Amino acid sequence: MTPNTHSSLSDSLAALAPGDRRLIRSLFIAALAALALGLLLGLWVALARAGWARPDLPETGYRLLTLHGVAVFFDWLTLAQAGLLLVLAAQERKAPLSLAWMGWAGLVVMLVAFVLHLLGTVWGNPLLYDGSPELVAEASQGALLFYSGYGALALGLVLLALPGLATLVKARKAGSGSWSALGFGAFAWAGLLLVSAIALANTFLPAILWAAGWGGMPADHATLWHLLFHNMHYLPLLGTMLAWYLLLPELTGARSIFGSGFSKLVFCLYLVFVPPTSLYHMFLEPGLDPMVLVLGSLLSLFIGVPTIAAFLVVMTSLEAHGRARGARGGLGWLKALDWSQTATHSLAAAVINLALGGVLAFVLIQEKLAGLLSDTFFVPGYFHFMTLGVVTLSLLTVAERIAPALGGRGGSVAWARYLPWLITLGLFLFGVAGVVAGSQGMPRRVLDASYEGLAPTSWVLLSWIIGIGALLMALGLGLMVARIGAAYLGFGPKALAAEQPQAALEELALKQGAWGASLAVALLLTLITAATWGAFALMRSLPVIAIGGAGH
Amino acid sequence: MSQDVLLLGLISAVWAVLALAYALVPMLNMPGSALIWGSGAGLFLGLALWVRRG
Amino acid sequence: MTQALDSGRSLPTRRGFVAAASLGILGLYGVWAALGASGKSGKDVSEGHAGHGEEPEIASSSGGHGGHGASAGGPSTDDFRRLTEDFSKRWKQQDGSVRPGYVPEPVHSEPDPHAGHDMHAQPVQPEAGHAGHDPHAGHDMQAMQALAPNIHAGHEAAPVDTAGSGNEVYLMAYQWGFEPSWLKLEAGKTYRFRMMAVDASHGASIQIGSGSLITRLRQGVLTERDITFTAKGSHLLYCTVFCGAFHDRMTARIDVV
Repeated sequence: MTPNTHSSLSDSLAALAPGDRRLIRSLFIAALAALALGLLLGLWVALARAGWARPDLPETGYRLLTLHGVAVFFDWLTLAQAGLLLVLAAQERKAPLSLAWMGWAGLVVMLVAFVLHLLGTVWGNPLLYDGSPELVAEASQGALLFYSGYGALALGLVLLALPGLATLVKARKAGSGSWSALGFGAFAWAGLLLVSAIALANTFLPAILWAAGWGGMPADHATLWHLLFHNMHYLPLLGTMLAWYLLLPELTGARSIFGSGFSKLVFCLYLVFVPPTSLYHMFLEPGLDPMVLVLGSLLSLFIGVPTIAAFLVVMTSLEAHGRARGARGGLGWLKALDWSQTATHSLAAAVINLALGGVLAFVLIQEKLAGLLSDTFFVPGYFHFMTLGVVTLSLLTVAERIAPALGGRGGSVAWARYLPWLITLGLFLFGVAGVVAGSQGMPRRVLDASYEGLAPTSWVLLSWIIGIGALLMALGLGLMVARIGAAYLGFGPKALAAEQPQAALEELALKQGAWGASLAVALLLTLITAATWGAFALMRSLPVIAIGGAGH
Repeated sequence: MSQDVLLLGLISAVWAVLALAYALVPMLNMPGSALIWGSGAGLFLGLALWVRRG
Repeated sequence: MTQALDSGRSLPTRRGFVAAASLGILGLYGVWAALGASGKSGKDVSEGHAGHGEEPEIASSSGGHGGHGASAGGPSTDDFRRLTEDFSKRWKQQDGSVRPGYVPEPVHSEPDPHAGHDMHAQPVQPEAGHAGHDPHAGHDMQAMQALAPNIHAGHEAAPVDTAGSGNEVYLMAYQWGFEPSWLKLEAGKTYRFRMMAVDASHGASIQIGSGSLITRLRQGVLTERDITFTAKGSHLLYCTVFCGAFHDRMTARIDVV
């Protein structure tokens, strides 16, 4: 028998120093503020595309789009991940954090970064979040502020990662000389945070120097941005896996039945496969060797291996525990979950969004489809499933779950359980319409995709559906952020003491025919195949033949 | 050597090989990639040593 | 070792099974191969015609000069601007469109010393048969030899489509437009598109059928693609790389006739 010896998250957070809890709470409050801002700006952009909100000046629209990207992709995700890292470190250490002062310094630097981004965007030309120096023109003072925002962000990342790393090293030393799977995963993930800081500096330091008049124009900003972006979007996916590992025992009592060594290997493989998969962002870049394109597609598939493995570990463990506790029938283990908890709904929605986003992701990594889909609305149609539907929902679930233990409130309210599904419905409309529009060539990053009536009429209709989806997403997410934010600020119903779920007998769990996750993966692979086939069929139906000319 | 240290070392080693490939294979020719993954390899090596020394 | 550890477990709870199932994603290689997408890109254009055995492909790659941002090997932006101006001037039609390889009945007019230098000029009289009289036609003799090998074609019956004549398209992307802004091309004929963004990165994407053909252009990098339109129609050409405030007004038109 293996009783659930895992100390509850609340106990681990209670073992922190009061200042540590204030730090984590502050990080999540700042993160939620960034998310709320980014959400409003994103909604405005979607409404503008639908023709329901138009700026007086196009610059204004693109400034708002720039801040949407920065606030959500960089500020919200960085601050929330920093909070998650400290929670993971606390769970492993069960004692006060090390180097907590660095975390406070990191938070201050992140706020400075946000202000710099804001000022740079308002004063300079709108550059969107990739900040291409080609678009700076004469507005170099604004660009200097904007680029300095990224410099501060790099410093903030380092400062926020170090307390987590130091605490985890201490935890290992104080423990049995090795980490739990979660501890190892958190440490490796924090390492990737530091690499992302290096990538930020690598991309924006030349731009800072150039904008300040101390260096030449950055020669290869686009390629460096691709690398940074690659790091920054795989980083939260690993963080999400860790969040699931953290939350599932809390919610269900189920722990991995595959052993910590296996999970550590899965986390390690994830990091091993991040660098070679970066090539697919560059498929449309002129001048790439054709073999690099082929190689990029082939290597990109490998990132799916640890992702699917982590999914199988989590879900099969969950199902096996459910069956061991008496769940019967194909879906009995799902019904047996505690659906009175908002967190259960959020994570279930996240799993569905992961499947939808995953199907589309594996279409995008095929280099021959890049000329059909890249730079179109297919891309935001796909990545909102991942960044919002998977990553953001998971991070919000962590934030919600720990709010009471950090001195906030966060009592359960029935209506909150519907919010993840409202968000998912909005995402579905946004994503599916976006993917269809993208397949037809509708570009991303434009405020008016009607092209004064020259574009296909379907683009207008699809933009409306995207706008409706964005509205629903924003409503659900806004209410969720408001509720969690209120809990952190001490408003809302008081939380009852969390009941620790019972663990199943592991010996019994191991004997269960827990096929649900495996079947889900089989279905996913079938859908990926169908989507890939569909994209090729569409490409071949076009009345055009285009072949890369002979490069010199 | 513990599994933790070995796995961190593995990440470092694979990244180092990739950094060399990005730097030296003419077809790739991506010095920016080489710099980032090379730095990352050094970083993970440092982390592995930190963990080993405790 | 793993087998020993896994003994007594049901199949889906075995580590080996999870590892094998995870590797299942690599089966997508087989799907790609079945779809004919696993080979090296950039086939010769003569192999790519629909209905002639090999599957056509779009946008598999773009031949780019100079790699990642460098302009080595291709013309400079100034040279490319001149080449495009000369191209537009060489093939400009009475209706304002630019139709490479097509020379209507000759219309005699005096050479215009300023033609080709105003990117926003209104349609000019066709001068194809008199290209040799244009004082600007000789900026880049090597390029112009490729561009207009048959300068007397205008004296023949239209349309003209001799080998090596009028099968290149120069397309310049700039903030915020394309030059030429209206192309007329023939269905079934393969054109070598020579494209460059001259001031910032741009896209040169063509909405066609139920999809699009997307090309990303980096500043100062010559990008070439061989493109064959297989059906008649009018298509929107638009920028797909954010290039500033009026990005969404950066359009042109391609009529396939």
